[in-house]
Amino acid sequence: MRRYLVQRLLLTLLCVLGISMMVFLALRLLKGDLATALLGQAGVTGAWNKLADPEDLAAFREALGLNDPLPIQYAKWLWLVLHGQFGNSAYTSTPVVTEIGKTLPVTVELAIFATILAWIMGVPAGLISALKQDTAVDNILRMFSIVGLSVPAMWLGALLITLPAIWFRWTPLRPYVSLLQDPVANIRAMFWPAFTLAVGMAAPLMRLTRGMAIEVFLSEYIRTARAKGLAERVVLFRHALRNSLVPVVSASGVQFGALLGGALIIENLFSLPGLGRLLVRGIFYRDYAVVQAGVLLIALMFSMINLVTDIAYGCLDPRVRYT
Amino acid sequence: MATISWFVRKKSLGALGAIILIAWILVAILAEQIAPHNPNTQAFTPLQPPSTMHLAGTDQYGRDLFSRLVFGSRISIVVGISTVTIALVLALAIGIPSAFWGGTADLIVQRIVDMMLSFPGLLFALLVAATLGPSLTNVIISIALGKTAAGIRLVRGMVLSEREKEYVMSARVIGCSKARICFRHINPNVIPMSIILAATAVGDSILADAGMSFLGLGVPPPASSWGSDLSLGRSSFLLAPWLAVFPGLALTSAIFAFNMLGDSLRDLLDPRIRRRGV
Repeated sequence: MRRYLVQRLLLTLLCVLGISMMVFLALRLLKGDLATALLGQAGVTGAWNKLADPEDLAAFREALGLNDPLPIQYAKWLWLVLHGQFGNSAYTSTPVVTEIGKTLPVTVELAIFATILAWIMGVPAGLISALKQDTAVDNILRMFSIVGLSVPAMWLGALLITLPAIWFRWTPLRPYVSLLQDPVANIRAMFWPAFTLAVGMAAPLMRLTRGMAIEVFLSEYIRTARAKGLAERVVLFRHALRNSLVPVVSASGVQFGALLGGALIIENLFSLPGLGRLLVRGIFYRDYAVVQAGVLLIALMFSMINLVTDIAYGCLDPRVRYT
Repeated sequence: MATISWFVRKKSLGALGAIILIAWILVAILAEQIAPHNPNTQAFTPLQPPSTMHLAGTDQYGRDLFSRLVFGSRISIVVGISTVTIALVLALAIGIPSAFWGGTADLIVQRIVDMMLSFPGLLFALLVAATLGPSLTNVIISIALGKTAAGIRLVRGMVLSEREKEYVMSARVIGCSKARICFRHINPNVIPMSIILAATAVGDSILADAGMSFLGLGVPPPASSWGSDLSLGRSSFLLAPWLAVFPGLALTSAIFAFNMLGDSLRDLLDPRIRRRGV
C-alpha cells in the first residue's frame, strides 16, 4: 500500500511538471506575447491604446527575458517557483499569489457547495428510485434525472437569471461577499450558482446510486440479511447503503475535481470572482505568470483529489487492494 | 421494420432521441431551405418577440434568431460528430496496441494520457483553441484531444479485461500469434462497445463547443453557434427572454437526443445489463 502511494505521488508530480511545460509552451505560442500586450504592437495601437516603438518593444522583451531560448525561460520560471516566487500579474501588477489567493477560495467554496447540493439532491432520489423500482415515483424521478443530465448548466443559469426577473421581479444574482466577512450574504450569493452546477451533477449521481442500489438489493448477502429476519431499515442502512455508495463517492470525487477548473461559465454568468474567470482573463491578456501558476495549482489539486478518491475507493471496498 | 418497432417499444426514450437526432441532422443539411431568412442580415427590428415572421424573435442586432439557430445546428452537429469520430479512431488506434503489447511504449502513452486527463476538460480545450486561434478546425482539434485521452483510458481498460479472459488465454495456449489474437478476438469485443460509448460522448462535445463559443473562443463571428448565441444575447436577456430560451432549447434537445440514443444502445449491447435485464 505504501509503495503504491509513493508511486502515485511521484507520478502525480511528473504529471504536474509535464502539464506546466505544456502550458508554458502553449502560452508562448499564442500570437502576441506579453510585450505586445503591455506596450501595444509596434506601430499599431495596442490593448492599452499605446503606440509602441519597435526599439521599446525589443528592449522590453530583453528586460522581461523573453528573448532567451524557451528551455531557459522555463528553467528560470521553475527555479523561481520552487523557491515560492510566482511573480506578479502583468495585468494588475499585484503578486500572482495574492490574485490566486483571492480567487481560489471562491472557486473551492463553489465546488464544495455544489457537491453537497448534488449529493442532497441525487443520492436520496436514487435510493428512493431503487426501492420503488418501476413505480410511478421511480419513473418521475428518472425523468427528472434525464432532464438534469441534458440541460446544460449555462442554460439553466441563463434561465434563472432571466425568467424569474421578468415574472416575479426576483434575481438570483447577489454581490459576492467572503464567507468570513458575512456568512449569510455569502450563502445567498453562492446558493444559486451552486444549485445550477448541482443539477447537472446530481443526475448522474442519482442514476449511479439507483443502479448500484438495485444491484446490491439483488445480491445474496442482502437476501441472507432479510432471511435472518432483520428489519428492512437495518438491512438498508447497515448493509446495502455502504456498499452501493462506493462508486458514487468515487464519481463524486471526480466531479468535484472537474469543478475546480471547469466552473468557468457559471462563474462568468453569476459574476463570481473565481479562479476560472482569472484564468480566462489571463489567457486573453497573455498574463503568463497568472495562467502558469493557476494551471499548476489546478493540475495539482485535480491530481491530489483523484489520488484521494482512488485511495478512498480502496479503503471502502476491501476487494480493491493496491499491492 | 420489425427491429425498429421493437426498438421503439423497448427503448422508447432512445427512439425519441433518434427521432430528434434525425430531425436536427435534416435541419442541418437543409438549413438553406428551412431557414426563412439569412442568419447574418441585420435588417430587421432588433429585439422583437417571437412572431409568425420571426419564429424565435430577433436579437439585439436585428438578426432573425430562428435562422441563426438553424444554421448554428450545422456547426454544433459537425463539431459534435467529428470530434467524437476523430477521438474514437485515435483512441482505438493508439489504445488497443498500447494496452495489448504493453511495455515501455504503453507506459509512455499512459503517462501522456494521465497528463492530459489531469486537466479539466474545458480549460484544456480553451488553452489549445487560444494557442491555435479561433476557427472551426481548431475547435474540433481542441475538443477531440481531450476526448482522445479519455477514450484511450477506456479502450485500455476494455482491452486489459479482455486479455485476461479465458478464451484469449486458450488462444495463446494453442499457439495463436499475438496479431491474430488481437484482430480476431480482442478487436471484435472492444470496438463495438467503444462506438457506443463514443455516441454518448457526442452530447458532451456539443456542450464543450457551446461553452467555448460562450467564452468567445469558438467559431468566430459572424458564424453562429448555439453557445455564442446564448452569450451574445446576455446583455439583452431581461428585455428579450427569448434570446435565453431558444438557443438553450436547441442545445438541450440535441444533447438529450445523443445521450438517450447512446444510453439505449449501450443498455441493449452491454452484456452485463443484458444478462440482468435491468
